[in-house]
Amino acid sequence: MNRKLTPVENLVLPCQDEFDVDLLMFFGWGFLELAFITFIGGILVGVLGGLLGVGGGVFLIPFLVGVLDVAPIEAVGLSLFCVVGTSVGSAGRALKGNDINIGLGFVVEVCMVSGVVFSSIAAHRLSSTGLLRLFSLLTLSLAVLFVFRALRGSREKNSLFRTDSSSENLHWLDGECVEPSEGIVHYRPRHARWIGVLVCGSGVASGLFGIGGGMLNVPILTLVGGLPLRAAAATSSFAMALTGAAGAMIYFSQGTVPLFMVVPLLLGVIPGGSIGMSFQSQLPVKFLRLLFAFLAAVVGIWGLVRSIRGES
Amino acid sequence: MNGSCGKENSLTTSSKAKITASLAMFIASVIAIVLLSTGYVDAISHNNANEIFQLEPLVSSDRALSWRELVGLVGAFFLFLVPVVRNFALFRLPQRPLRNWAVASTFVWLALLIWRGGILFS
Repeated sequence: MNRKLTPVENLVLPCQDEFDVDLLMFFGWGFLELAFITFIGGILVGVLGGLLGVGGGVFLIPFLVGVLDVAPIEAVGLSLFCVVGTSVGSAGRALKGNDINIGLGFVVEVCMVSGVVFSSIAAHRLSSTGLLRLFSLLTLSLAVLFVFRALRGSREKNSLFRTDSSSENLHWLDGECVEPSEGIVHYRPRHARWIGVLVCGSGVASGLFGIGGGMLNVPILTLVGGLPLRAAAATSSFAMALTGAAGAMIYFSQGTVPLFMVVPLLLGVIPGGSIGMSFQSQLPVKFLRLLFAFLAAVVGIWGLVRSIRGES
Repeated sequence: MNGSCGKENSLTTSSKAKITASLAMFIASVIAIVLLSTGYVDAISHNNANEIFQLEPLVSSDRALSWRELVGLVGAFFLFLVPVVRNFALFRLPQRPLRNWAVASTFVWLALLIWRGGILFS
């Protein structure tokens, strides 16, 4: 195809060959084996995505590139299809409960898509290596912050901006969550405008690197908006339906998505996301924070390695 | 919800609109999977995954699309429809700002579809 390479391709294409079915045959894999492995990977990615409110690209891209030898540019496109599937599984389940803050979810998805579009337009003018390094350092910092908060003990209760459920002036951004000692508590997100601005940046990172949506959105919603972790994860899952579809459309229109791999992936991530979301409500917040911190650290280190590879 | 003020807080309760949205997302994704599977079965039968469903021929106009590729295209489109069918269901939420944001979200999706669809078929 005669088109300019995006920063993602510039970073990763020199390191990998094009996806080649012959390679699968070399490993003795037929399509059914490939489908089965992709399906299992999809379930794992979906469960983690549902637990933490992330799309799953951060787990899926290394899996597709490292295990299945998919070309990285195709892996990014596939992971964006997977993000839609995770959102169907996890947000679809969460919509039956009360964890999703729908108003904030709309704000997040619209602002984030703006960032994705900006990044796809300005991609060739941006220093991708520098941005990836910045993104990695930011993710590592968030990992440290989440570990610190998990070990220090829950401060969510204090940071929650409570509203009176009996008030006649319910705001459209109001949400509700379950506090162990108090039952259902109504809250209002703090700094909604800042959340909008910050998730735009998250969209830029997502558009450039195919990762970073939920991994940045959940910390933004908890640390800036003061949302409980579970509500932040559910709201992030809700928003990912549009951001994932937007990113998938962009890659799809470039013809770089191997659609035959989408089916087993979706068959895995949709139930996986639903399972992850149902487990999420049963796990302690401290565990979820530590798990999130661990995965953020892995993503940060992975991003640093990618940025160093891109220079060499 | 049985709010103490006697007024239902439809923002946060498990309303009918939210259940419908959940169901609509699921149905759209199931249709997408069924349509995409049509091409996948062909790939298993003929071991020709490199020739079908890569969509590079569509972009570079090397050859005409087979009917399976067309079905695959429609299947992918149904997956892209997931946020829109969700938004259509949420248009019934009682608060006007929420409905406005649902409309905004749908317009953003539509703009992207026109932009990227224009590139794909130009």
